[in-house]
Amino acid sequence: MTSTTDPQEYQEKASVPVVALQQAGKSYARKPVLRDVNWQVQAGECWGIIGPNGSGKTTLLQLISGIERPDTGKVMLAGQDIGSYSRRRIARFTAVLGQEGLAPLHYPVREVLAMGRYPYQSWLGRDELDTADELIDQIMDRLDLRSLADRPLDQLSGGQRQRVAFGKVMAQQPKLLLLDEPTTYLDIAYQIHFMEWLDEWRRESGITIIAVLHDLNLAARYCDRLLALNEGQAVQAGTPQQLMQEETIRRLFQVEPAIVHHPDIHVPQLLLKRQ
Amino acid sequence: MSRAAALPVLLFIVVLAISFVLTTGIGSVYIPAGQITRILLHHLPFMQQWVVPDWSTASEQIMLKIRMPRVVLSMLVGAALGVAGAAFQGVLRNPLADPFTLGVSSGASVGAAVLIFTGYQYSLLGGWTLPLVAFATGMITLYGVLMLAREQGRIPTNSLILSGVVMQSFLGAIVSFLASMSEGSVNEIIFWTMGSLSLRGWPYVVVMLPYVLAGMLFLWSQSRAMNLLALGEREAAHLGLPVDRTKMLVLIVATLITAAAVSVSGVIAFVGLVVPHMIRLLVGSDYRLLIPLSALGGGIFLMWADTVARTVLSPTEIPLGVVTAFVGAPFFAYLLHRYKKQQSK
Repeated sequence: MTSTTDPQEYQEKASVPVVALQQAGKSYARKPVLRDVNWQVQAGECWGIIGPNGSGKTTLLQLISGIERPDTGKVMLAGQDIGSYSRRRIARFTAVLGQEGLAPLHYPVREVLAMGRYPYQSWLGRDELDTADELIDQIMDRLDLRSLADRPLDQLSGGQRQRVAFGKVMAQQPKLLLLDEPTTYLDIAYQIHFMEWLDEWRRESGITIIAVLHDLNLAARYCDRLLALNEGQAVQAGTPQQLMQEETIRRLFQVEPAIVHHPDIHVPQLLLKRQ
Repeated sequence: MSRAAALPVLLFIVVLAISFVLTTGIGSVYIPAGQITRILLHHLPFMQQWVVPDWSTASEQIMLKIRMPRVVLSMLVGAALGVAGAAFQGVLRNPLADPFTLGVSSGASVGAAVLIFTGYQYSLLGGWTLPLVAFATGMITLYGVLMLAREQGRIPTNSLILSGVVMQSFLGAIVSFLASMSEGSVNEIIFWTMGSLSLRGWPYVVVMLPYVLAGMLFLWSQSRAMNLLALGEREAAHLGLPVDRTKMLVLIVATLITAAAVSVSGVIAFVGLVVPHMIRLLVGSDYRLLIPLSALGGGIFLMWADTVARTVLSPTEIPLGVVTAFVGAPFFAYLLHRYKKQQSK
């Protein structure tokens, strides 16, 4: 295989998986958190990672984002070992959105969005993309941030800050988006807004998404594939229909589920029984 | 940088220029500002025929040989400490960090104290012995602190700050010991640790200028990185910043220019801690603006502080570090008070 020097050029070679884990494992203080994970993500897919607390979901994301290195096995990004990329190269390919949004800093919204352009800037701050300013404007329009453009982050609500974080990730123009429980602190209206923005963005740009989601119903509605983790191992991968089975959920989370079908969109949804 | 940012920079440059002329004039022999400006212009190329000398050679000599090098040096030291302080606060994300956080001042003080104690401060290289030794011991201390804080190739911020504190108290004890053991009514060691710019001529300026200037430019070039770090180290890494390498480089360069300043001036507390905070209250925390303004602000602040140090009780000099704390702390308190009032409106 010819070596892909820049992950930006990757999209043309669609046969290479965006992310591939080969026997990947990670331990903290000799305690294994992830073991022998084999998993492939193809371009344009949207994966939800589900599993109980402590099953290794966040660690899996950290391996894929290159923040942590695997102790055993390999993590491949766009066909190459992730260790061979610089941070800047990774940031041009992968963006990460966490649950906390952004710290309440005294930076205006527009400046924070512009920080998403960092991996494309020369050391003098010049952007490769001549239309970077217009890009930021478009993102602000789309996320209803225009009226907040000059307000500092520390004067915004948690939901607004999460929107800014989302905008910053869009400004990064990634091929791969990693989400770590992005809707945890959002009310239900914002959750739906958020997932709809995401879906729209995905349909426009063909971006690949890997999302850790606690809310299984959200995962079943917006992801086309699910990966179930338990005690550091990948126990099952498949479509929401395949994974959202009462037996699977019972084994994974030790709860009594009832699976129903969403009246409009025909995806399995989960109700919980009292124990 | 945006056009809105150019205004405060311009304003600070104007204040710096005015301060320069005024502080050069103040002293046991007063030189009027107009005369200083004319002497300066006279020494610029192509300007000589326009400015007719109408001043005494004595005041020209005082100005050029005694006052100016000292004022310029105070400006340089202040700028170096101001920028280094902003950089430390930026990468350590700790508002109490200052240029001495990594123990470089106490390291330099030990070198200076040993020399003064043993009476070797003018040996070998004459007047240069003390600054060079102070610089060297400061750097050795930096190395020690970095080694102490290192964990598997990474340098976590908390252990770095703790290592600095440990090193400072240990080395501080050595300095106190030497000071208490040394004889003489005026204790030179104590005086050195409180900072002074007396008897420093042009050669010091010439040595320091390119060095400090290069360091400050490097730190300015890292200002976008420091903005990213404000979001958190993990977030900055996700945006493509090689966090550990950047932190390390910024800390080392900031410590280098601090060591250069300390080696000629002794320990001048407060500038590096408070000047960046003052600037923050005035213009916000964008490092692209904060770094250059901390340089200008530190320069202005120390020029005036040194003027106070050499004139108020003239001919006795007050230690510069005493003046910076004495003048700086109330001024900072005032700014903080005003800022809080603004916020509550």
